[in-house]
Amino acid sequence: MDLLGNLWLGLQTSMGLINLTYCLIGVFLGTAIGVLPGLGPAATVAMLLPATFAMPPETSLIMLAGIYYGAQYGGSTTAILVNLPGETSSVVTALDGYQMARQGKAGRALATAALSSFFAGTVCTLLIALFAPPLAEVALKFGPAEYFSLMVLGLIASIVLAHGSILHALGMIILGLLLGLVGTDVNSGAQRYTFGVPELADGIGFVTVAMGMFGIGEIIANLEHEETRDVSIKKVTGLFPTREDFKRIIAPTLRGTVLGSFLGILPGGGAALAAFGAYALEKKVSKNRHEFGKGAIEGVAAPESANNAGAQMSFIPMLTLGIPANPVMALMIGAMIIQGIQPGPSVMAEKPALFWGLIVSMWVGNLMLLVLNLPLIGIWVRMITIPYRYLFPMILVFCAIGVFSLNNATFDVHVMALFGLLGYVFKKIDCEPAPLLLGFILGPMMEEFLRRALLLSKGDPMVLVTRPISATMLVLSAILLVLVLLPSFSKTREEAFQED
Amino acid sequence: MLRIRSEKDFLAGALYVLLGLGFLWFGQDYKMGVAARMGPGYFPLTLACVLVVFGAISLIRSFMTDGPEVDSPIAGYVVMLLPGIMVLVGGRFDRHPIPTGLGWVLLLLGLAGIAWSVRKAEPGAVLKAIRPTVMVTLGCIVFGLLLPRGGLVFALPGLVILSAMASAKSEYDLKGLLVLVGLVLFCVLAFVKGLGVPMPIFGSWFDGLVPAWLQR
Repeated sequence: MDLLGNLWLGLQTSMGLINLTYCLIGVFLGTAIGVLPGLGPAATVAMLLPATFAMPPETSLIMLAGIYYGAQYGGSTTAILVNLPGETSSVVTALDGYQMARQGKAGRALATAALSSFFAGTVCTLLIALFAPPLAEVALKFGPAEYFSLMVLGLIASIVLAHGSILHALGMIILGLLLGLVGTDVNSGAQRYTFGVPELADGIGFVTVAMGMFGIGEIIANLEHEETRDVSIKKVTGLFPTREDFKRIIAPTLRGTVLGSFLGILPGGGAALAAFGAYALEKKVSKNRHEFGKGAIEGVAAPESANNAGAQMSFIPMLTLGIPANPVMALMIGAMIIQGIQPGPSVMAEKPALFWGLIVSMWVGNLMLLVLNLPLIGIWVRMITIPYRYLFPMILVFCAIGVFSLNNATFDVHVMALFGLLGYVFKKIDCEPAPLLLGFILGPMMEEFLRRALLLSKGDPMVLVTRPISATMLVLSAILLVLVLLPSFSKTREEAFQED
Repeated sequence: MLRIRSEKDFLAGALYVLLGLGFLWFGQDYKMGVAARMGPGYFPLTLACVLVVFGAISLIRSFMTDGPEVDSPIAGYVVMLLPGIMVLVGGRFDRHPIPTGLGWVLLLLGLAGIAWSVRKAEPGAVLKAIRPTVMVTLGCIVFGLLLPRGGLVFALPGLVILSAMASAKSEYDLKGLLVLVGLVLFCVLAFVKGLGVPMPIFGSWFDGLVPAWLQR
């Protein structure tokens, strides 16, 4: 069968000694940095991205993917042990996970998180293998008009996930698109917004922007409210869930996986929304609902499986369409472009080893997380206890050196500082960085597709609505926009984000 | 009386309008072309107009609906200094020169605005609020400036010490010094010698003073 053949190819690629090693390194580094405070997956991936440039494309993407779910797992660990979620998607895990830890069940909570994540990861690897090829086939028929509309849909969808005002998020998208256009216009060769600075001729590096906004901006915000991380749990014992625990987590894990897979595949969707949704669902259907918030094991299993499912499914739009569903996927696309691969539906046909290797490596990476992290928990606990005053200068050093090494230019370090400042300011006025970064990545692509679409239609903008697929996506975007503007929906959206 | 009821909306709106106008001004020479043949200005200038409109809506809304206050003065300062900085940077443009004097006036106005907004505040409190932002940003800039000149041996301590001053909890003791020395050694070995990042260990200040393998 084709599927088996493809998976076999993927297995061969991902099991190669080099790829396996880098997958391991990625998962390990991702978890290590994920448990550190104030660094989410996006900042972690951005920080380690320059280290992968010298590798072959497969290895580089496999390692980056490993960093991504490693960082997510690390975030859950801090959520459970110290009630400090490393990122939005593990906010919900902290609710019940930390309570479990306080009751001396930290080991079981961690194991539950790992097991349910692994289960979701396995299911999603299969789902991606099943659904990515037909989707890519459809996408191959896409013309520029369809691509443009799809990107509009992706950008609009990213608003749903943004905190705060919708107007602010829309503004951030536009600003991101504009910043993405800085540099040489590919079509006319005109220099746009370069101010005569030669370093800007190639545009602003997206890693520079991401590191500034997610890394530096976060550090500044963290320093404002320095808190002492009080780790009461010095030793984690009883790592294995009991038979009773198993019985209780099976159904929530299944439900979380299904929900996460659905939400994750939406452009702009992803891990955070999935985790919130799964927790809310369990609270409604679980027969132990009175225990929620007081250390219910279901409250760990459901969001953890959902956020892992969501995170993995967000690879689908990235791999098949070349459209990033979240900032991490935007970074992956950036990594592909730097490696000389044009992201999009043709990747699967042209680079089957890369495509299938990456997919299978997700499963391998999840397995590694499971096998590695439970025994290594002692190391992670010790890393959590490193005082922030030692950590943040080191993080800054690695960010600065990482950004410098992109083009060996100190100019980029200064641009990073500027975006750090901007990122902090935007954070303070409730303007999320994620829509900006998505716009930044999509800006030049959108311009190019719009240009081509209008060239083919001889300047008639109606081409965007007369072609059925393109029209469908624009209608979907409009519906989504109307939905988020509806008072009742915006209320639930606010509530969903209230916890953090 | 007309007053700002939502600071966040006001500042976001102001930022969007200012940046949008900036993109319009600096892009005014870019050829628009027609829809069938989009020029380099078509997409950015359209977007910049949309950004200004969004900003304007946000500004209007800030006077209509109540919203939470911004818990850091930095955002306000940045918005106040932005027009001056934009005009000064724009002064480098030879096609549409804006008098540099106007830039300085705007910058002074911005500084006056900041002074006005802190007139009643406790100096210590203001300093405490802006310290993380200023020190972290400054640290990164100093790193960039020192790297080619002094080399890693100067740039790293510059970044670490300046950014450490951002935190009230930093301690400047022997342990901190040892960590710093260890970090410099690690970076030299791992990044310069290991990964081959072309950062000078000793920069141009030491030309001819240290052997070449220490400078590379």
